Amino acid sequence: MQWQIARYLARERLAAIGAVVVLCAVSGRLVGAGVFGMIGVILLAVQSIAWRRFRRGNLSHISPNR
Amino acid sequence: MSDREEEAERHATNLELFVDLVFVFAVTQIASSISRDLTWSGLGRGLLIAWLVWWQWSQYTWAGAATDLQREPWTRVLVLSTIPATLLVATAIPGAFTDKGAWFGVAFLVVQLLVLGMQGSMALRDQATRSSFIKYASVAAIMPMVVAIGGFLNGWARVAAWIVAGGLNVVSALRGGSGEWVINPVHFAERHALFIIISLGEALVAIGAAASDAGLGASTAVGLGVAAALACILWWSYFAYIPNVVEQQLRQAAPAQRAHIARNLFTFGHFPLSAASCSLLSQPSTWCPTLATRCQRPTDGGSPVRS
Repeated sequence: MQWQIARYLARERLAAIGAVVVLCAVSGRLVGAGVFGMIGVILLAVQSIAWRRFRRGNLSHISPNR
Repeated sequence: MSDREEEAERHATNLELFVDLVFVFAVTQIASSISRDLTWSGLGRGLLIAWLVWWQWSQYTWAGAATDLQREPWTRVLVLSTIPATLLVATAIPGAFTDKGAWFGVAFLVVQLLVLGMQGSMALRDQATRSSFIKYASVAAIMPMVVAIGGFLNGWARVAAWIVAGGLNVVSALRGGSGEWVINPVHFAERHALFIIISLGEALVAIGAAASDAGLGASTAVGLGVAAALACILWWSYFAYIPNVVEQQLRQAAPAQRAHIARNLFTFGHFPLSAASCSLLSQPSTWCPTLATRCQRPTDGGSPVRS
């Protein structure tokens, strides 16, 4: 979607995809809830960066959310 | 209020929300099918069915984006008449790859042809959309026939037929999406956001049901908390601004470009979002330790059986 709209992929998203792939590869040795928790932390971190960038960008007026 | 203003403010109708309830059941069936067979092939089969069902839902949505399906009695009757067959599709999902697969295939064919006919009766009346619909329908009408034929085949032949049908969906969208369609941006974006809600809602139901099944305890509570928190993060990731941005993209596009954006951002772009969130969170044995220890995998390579 980001590629469709802006024709670029944010570095943090690519890093997050890589991190989740690595996490899935080693997930057999981890507790399930721990894997889910780590995926949640990665998503939260990426979303925080994306949200800050969105708020500073020229599309920020589109969303009423703060 | 002028027609233009009225069009700009059109939202999902109660009829569409009623149809969505059938798809809620379909999503539940897909999630539980994947959950019962946690293997790569099981996941692949689940995603294949999910793609076909997603296409069926998309067909309703494109029809509803062109006109208010609730306003005219004939469209109300037609949409309502598809509900029994759509419910049969959803009911047949767990047995889609068994000897009951014909039920899924034939019910799918009936629904697709009815909705395609409804879509055609509107698109063919308009000179601007006629050629786009003909391009789309020339392939889209073949797809459900392949699904129905596949239902009468066995084993990998059925899987292959349904993969071909899934590919025909893509081909029909690529052919039809390059032309002009009537799409209401507000309505279209809202409908897709509602499907994301359905997927996340199914995930919450699966999380709650699994925790209830496992019995309350400290480890179950921790697992439930983590899984529910992940569902909330997924909600936030999408609903913080994505619906507004994609709606804006549609709104700003020229009529000839609108279908292209609708196809890429919504029909193609939203499937991975809903399929991934539903598949990820509907696997309770992965996050709930109590359920994980109660799941036994038989040695004959079959589906895991909960003791």
